Amino acid sequence: MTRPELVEISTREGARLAAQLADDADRHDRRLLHVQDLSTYFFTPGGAVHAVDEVSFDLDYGETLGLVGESGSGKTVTALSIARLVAEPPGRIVSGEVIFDGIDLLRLSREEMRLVRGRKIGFVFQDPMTSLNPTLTVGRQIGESARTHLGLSRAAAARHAADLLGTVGIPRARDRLGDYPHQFSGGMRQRVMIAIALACQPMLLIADEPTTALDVTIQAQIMELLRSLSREFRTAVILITHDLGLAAGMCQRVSVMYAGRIVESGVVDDIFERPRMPYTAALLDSRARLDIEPGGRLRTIEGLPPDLLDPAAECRFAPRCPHRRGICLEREPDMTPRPSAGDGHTARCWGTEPGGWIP
Amino acid sequence: MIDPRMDEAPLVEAEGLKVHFPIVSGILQRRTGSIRAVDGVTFAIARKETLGLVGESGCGKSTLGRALIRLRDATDGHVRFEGRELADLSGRELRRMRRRMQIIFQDPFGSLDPRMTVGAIVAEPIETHRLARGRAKEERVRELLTLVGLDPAFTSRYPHEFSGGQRQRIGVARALAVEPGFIVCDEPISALDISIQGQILNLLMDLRERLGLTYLFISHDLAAVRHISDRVGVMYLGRIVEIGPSSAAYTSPAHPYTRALLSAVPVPDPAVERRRRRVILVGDVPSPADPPQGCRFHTRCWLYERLGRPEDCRSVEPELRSVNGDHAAACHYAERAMHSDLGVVETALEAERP
Repeated sequence: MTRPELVEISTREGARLAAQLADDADRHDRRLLHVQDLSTYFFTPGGAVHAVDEVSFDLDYGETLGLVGESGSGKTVTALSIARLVAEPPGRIVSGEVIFDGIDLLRLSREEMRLVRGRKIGFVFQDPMTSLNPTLTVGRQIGESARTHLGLSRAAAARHAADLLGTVGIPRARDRLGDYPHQFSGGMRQRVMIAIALACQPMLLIADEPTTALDVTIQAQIMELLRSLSREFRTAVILITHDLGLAAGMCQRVSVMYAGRIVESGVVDDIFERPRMPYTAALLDSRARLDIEPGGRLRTIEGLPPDLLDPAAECRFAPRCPHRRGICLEREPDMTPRPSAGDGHTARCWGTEPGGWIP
Repeated sequence: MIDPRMDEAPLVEAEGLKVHFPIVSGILQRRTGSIRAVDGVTFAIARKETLGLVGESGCGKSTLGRALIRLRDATDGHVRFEGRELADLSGRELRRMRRRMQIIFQDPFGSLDPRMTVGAIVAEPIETHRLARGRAKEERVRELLTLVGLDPAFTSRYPHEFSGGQRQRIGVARALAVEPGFIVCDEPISALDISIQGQILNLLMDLRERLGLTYLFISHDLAAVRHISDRVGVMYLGRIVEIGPSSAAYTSPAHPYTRALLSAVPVPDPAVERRRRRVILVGDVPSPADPPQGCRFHTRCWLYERLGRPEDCRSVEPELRSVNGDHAAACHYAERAMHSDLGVVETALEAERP
């Protein structure tokens, strides 16, 4: 496996960006990504839907973070907001900071942002068939990004594409460059997507439910691939998933989202061994799992997530929470630290604050 | 023939069941081959038993479920319900028999007519089978909605007013309307959010208890299948490759494919995930139009590789055979597979958590 050579950025905007990056040579004391109070609303005739509401988290260089939650919790919109890919209108990032490798992404021009996205952030989505262009060969699609952003010649881009296809484990890679997406199976298409995402050696890979449409044995292949690629290239990964098991096996840190909020964050062992937010605990218990003897009823979470159209001032999980008390319905708690084995365990829950009533 | 309770006649039986779909091509639409979706399957389901059916997409599990209640015609072989051959039934007899067997679908959005009220959806099978009329029918609809945990006042609402989990409950109420004995549950929780999946699994288990139902529970979620099933069957490329009591199939799987499947299921415990040894299968599932010679799994089998690619795996298709009582597997080297520790996840009794 050869690491493709990076070529200097050729455009003027790119040069400015490269200079900016070079200025910040000492990245040791810095995070790759710092997201602070990010809010994204969708403006509908009925009012503003608070899809992402004051979300904050950090990601280290080379780290894998799991963004876990159910549909509608805001995890995808969070990722799209970081890359400024939210459809506008109806969506709009209304506040917050997204500092990526020292640059505030929310202040970049569209053109500058396009460069950062192309070169520094790669994407893998759930359904490769809708993200791949069915009328272009995969070789062209992989090579295109390398030609645009790395300034490679046509021949060099083709070689680069063949290398990448091999890297992601597609057999006879060179022979398949001329094939179209429909000639690949679901798992192979997802590998092609990963090859495209890695074409410019991004510092961050955002994988949004990358294996939800795939069978478990294929899912295991793709996860193994992501694991080894992130190790080899030191690419940081944000893995967006509803599957707590995937997060447990892939991630160093996990943030749990509920109703537009991050409700718990921490290193993976703390989150799974001693969750400090009843929603996290309930999610872990509401699914049958292979490592727990079956039998009896599953614990369930009654009710539904709240309407995010002007949400109430209470804890958003309170109406469904078996541990709730009066204060939970009056005021929403902040994310506050919890004493745990690992660093930075925080939760949004009155009941598990110091002196709280949840053991 | 593998039958766990020979002393009692099974409710549902399949014997040598095949369902093939023609592949036609060219402007003359000539038949050029066939997709062998279900390709020679034999098993039985006892009364009040739940048989789980697992396998990856395209393995034929949904087609098999549909063939059992004759929503699909068999190409070859037999399906018997209460000892009667389904293929021999006349239209009227089949309609009467249909009351006894129902299906719950995966997609709670696509399987309910958006223009019908919930009351009309649940009442439809009652009318079709002329089970009740007027006041009695309305009363029955309310009773069914209550049974599945919905507010009986919802009868005049439309499907779009409900969440995914509630829609799945409506689907269950509709299936129960004709008082069936046997229900094919075809991926009933796959489209639902995690927090809702548990509610539907609990509901299906409660109903089974209260109404004495028999289920074929089809799912790709191996943990959910173990949770609800007495026995489990594993399908690969149109064949059942392993079948047996859930406890045996999950703790000492006798087919290399079952072990690979189990090892691929993520477990929400980082410590377990770090300790686990995985089998990562290479390649994709071959086409059911042209399954491999010999054992259908040998092209992806880790045990075949480990044993130095024995010739019989390539030339002789293994039959389902008992490895321990009613636990059976279709593998020439099932005993070797059983003595591997790959894939099995240790279980704790219950997670202690506030």
